[in-house]
Amino acid sequence: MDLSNYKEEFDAKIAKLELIENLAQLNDEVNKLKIEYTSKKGILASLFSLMGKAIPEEKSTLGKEINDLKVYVNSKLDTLNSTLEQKQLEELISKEKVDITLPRRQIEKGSIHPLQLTINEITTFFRTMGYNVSEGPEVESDYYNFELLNTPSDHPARDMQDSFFIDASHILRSHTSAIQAHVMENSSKAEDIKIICPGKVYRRDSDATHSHEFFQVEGLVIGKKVNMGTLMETLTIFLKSFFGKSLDVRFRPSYFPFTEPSVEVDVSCFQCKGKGCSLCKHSGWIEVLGAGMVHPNVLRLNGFNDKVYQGFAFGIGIDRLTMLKYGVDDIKKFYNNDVDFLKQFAKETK
Amino acid sequence: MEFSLNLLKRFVDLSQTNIDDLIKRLTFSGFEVEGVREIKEIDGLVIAKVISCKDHPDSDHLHVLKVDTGPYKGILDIVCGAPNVKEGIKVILATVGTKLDAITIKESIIRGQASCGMCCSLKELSIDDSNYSEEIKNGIYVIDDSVEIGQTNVFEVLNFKDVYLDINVLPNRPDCFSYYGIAREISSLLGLKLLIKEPKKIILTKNNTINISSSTDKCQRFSFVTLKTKNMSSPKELVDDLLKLNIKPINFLVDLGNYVMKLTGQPLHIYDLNKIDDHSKILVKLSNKEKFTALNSNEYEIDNDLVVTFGKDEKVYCLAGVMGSKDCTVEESSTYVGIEAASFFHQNVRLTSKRLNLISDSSILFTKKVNPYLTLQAIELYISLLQKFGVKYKVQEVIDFNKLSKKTNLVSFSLRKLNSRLGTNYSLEDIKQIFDNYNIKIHTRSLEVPNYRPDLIEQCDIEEEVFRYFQGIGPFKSLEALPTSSSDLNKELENENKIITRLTNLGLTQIISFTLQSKDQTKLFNFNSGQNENYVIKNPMTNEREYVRKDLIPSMIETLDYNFKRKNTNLALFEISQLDIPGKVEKRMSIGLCGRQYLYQRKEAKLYDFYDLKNYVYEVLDIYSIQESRIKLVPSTNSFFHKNVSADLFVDNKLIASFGKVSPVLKDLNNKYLFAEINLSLLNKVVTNSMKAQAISNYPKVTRDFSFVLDKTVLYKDIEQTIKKTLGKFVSDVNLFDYFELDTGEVSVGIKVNLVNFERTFDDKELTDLHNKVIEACKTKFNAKVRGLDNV
Repeated sequence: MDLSNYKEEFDAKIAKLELIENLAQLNDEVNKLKIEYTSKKGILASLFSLMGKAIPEEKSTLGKEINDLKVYVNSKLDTLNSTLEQKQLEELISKEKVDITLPRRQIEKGSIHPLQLTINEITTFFRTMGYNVSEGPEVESDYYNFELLNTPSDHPARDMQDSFFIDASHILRSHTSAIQAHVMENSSKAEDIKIICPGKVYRRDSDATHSHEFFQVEGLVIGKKVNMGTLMETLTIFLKSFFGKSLDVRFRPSYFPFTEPSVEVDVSCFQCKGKGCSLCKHSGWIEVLGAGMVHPNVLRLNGFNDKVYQGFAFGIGIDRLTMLKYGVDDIKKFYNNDVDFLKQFAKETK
Repeated sequence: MEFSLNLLKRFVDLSQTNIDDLIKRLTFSGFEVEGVREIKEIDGLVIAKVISCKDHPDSDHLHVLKVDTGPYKGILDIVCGAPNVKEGIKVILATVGTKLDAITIKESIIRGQASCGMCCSLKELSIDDSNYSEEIKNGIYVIDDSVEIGQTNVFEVLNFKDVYLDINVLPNRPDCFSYYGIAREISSLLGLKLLIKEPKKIILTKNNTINISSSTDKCQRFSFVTLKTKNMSSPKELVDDLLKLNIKPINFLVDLGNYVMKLTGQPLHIYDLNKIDDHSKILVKLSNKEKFTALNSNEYEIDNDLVVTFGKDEKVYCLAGVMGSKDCTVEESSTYVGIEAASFFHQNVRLTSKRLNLISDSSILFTKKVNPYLTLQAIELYISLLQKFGVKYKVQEVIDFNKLSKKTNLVSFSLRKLNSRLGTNYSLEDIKQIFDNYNIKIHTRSLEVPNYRPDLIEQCDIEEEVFRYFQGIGPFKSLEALPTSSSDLNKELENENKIITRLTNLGLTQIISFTLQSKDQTKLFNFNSGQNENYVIKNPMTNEREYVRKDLIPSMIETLDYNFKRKNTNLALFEISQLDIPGKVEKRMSIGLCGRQYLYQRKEAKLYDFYDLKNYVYEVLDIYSIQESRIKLVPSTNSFFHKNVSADLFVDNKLIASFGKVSPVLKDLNNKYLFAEINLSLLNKVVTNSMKAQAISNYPKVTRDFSFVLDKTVLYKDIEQTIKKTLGKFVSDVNLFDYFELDTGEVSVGIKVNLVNFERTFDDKELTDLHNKVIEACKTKFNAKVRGLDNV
């Protein structure tokens, strides 16, 4: 029996299918063809049923031929199927496409207050150096704000600050140094102390660079060997971390009642790189903070043995640092809370 | 304090010193030079003589002058309007081309008369004239006739040329509020020769007719000299110096006292003893209430002030250290005077001066602490200057009331400690130069400091001298000596930071507002009813900032209003702040919402409502991991809020938060605002267990949706609880997916329930049973109708 007709017929059908472009139609036709040839009542099955009627000498040849045809048909159909699948996937993928340059679907973020950004940065810096964070009351007794800090009521330095009074013995704290005294009071007086104390402070003062309320961070370290060099290195590293590595730091001897020796710390003007501009009042330097070795009398007043312990303290004006860092010219902008001003800091909010 | 360089040069040898170097050295040694004021020659000025002065034919006040400039420009025609111009006087003439601060001089015709220059007043030359006579202030400056005309180095000739250094003298160096003090400091710092001459010592007299005492310890020393002499107006030499010292010349004896004060820092007071009937007794005391007429002719009410009294009836002749009485004013006719050099307690002088608003050069110095050991030296200088100016005098009595304890000038000193505190490695050799320059003598284990440095008391004061001298560059910068420690977690601050991060990520912006507010503001909102006290400032700057806030919402209102007025009407803000309330310190936070929230690049916007606010409050609560069962939510009883659109939130029965819409009853407030106030201190105290992971089922979850129509009074919380109770162990979670009000006044509620079975996969019958149970329960309990079934 010659099966070549069958093969030719099958090939012709396949060739026809290959011309179909519509994938759904093609899918249908492929399925039909499959059923036509490979189902129980299909062409291949009917050929196999002819086997019984064949003469025995031809049986094995015929069987082989039918089987060859079956293999051929199946392989052709498989190929067709995988081509079809391939085409279907391609169609699916090509249908779905985004414009990657369209804007992201973002929920509008708020912003952290610029003063908070500075407090966070300072706090993070000193915490990585092992400092603890302490807070204290804002309505403060004269005792903690002045007396324990070597500034008794008749001290001429009292005139350096004009405070807000609540009553004869209470004020709104004029500096975060007041927190120091609480921390020292609560210590065992025979242990190292390493703290920073951020907070709001109050002075009767108001202009473009002074607000009656502003923020400070106080730092206090007490140990057996800490010295002026430790303080200077600490502040140098801090200021370089805050303002940038290329900046220079200088220390000017000064006076505060609670430290001796005392220094005021300047950084080279980052706007003009020290050449002189309006920001640094043509000096090339900008004053950023005050510091010094804790006055032995402060140690004694707070119950420490000044023969054994020594320490350093520094006070950083948050508002000033923030004004310098972000180029803000009026301190009132921090407290008016104009959202147009505040929203700019969304970029710094992480 | 401003110092004249020309005067300083008399007391310290600055001939080889560059001014810039001096300024730098001072600034880096604790004496910051905050300003430099130089009075420089002005090109075109010349000393000239008015050789004729006629009235201007066309004016009732102008004069037409012929002015002789000598060889400079010969005789010039000038039109001048000064009231004090007259023939024969010598003046400063600004010739054509001279550039003054206000104008440039040009040749001009003034009402028909040619004018080739201008006779100048001091003001026109930008020279401070506040200490000059009224005539000079209102007219042109008249030059002493002895000065030759034609000279163009006018300021030099007239002794105006100078450089003034504004030095910031810090409170620990009261000695440097004087020329001698600063001269000594400069001499020590730069190793320059000191030119101060020691005046001749005076000897105390015995058997005095005047008895001096003090009934208070606020006057430890009172040195007093009586003189018979003659007074006059001060010679020009002294007047020139006084003007440099910013002192108004009065008469010689008074001027000399002021001059000595500026040089030594010791205020002197001069009494006309002829005007004091009984000066057998001088008593310093704290006064009773009485009236006092001071030198400036003003009357003051004195009350418990430190005063100097004379005579048995203790009549007040001086407000100690502040100002003398008009009754014993020294005048040019005075012939018998007493000179006081005393030490009054700085605090008393400060209080008197402040209370009476009466400030004098003397009170300023006393306030800064005058060194009590130098009273006699000041008197000695005064007397030596009388001699120098050739004034005849006779010292009558020299009395020194002195209650001071003998001063020890020894300061114990350890070089090891110095190096330990400074972080240096100096040898004694390294720092010996400093001690020499500062007249500090080295003994074993101690140092002897000079009398004029009362600030050098203990070791650290010496360390400061060394540190200053080396301009703060000595210490070896290193972290080696820093105590090692780890930073403990401060839970409260950690939580605050988390709130800030979370809320800003949700689109809220942090604000920081003033603690001080007006009385009206404090009344706007009260978080803890029953607690109404605020701290009040005794000395506020304005009424707007008089009260210490005890709640945050009033500041939030102020901030929302501020932005609203500036047309920023979509606002979502929060603030975290410490509040100091009588009896406690509390951390609180507030939230303020208004307008719309923009989503997705401003493509979508929705109005903020109560549920947004509730979400933000719960976002904060979430940070504290408080179990739902401990939270109680009830309609707020705070009258600030809309009673139907607000809630009070309690944890363990403590009020943690109040939030909602502003009550429409408060007409002054924008009723679109939504606020929350949260007590963070209480939240921080809530003890919570750490989270434990729950078992999860191995079998698949099944979801069932329910849609009910309910009466508006039914609370969602009750439905949720009923569903949970009905489903028992099979409920995983219950979620609202839809909620809206119907025209009928009822609400439609869509609830999605996730069912879970820990034992096996649900079969259909089980699910249908559970579903029906839920519907039955809601029908019975809430009279719920099922959407799509019960005719809805």
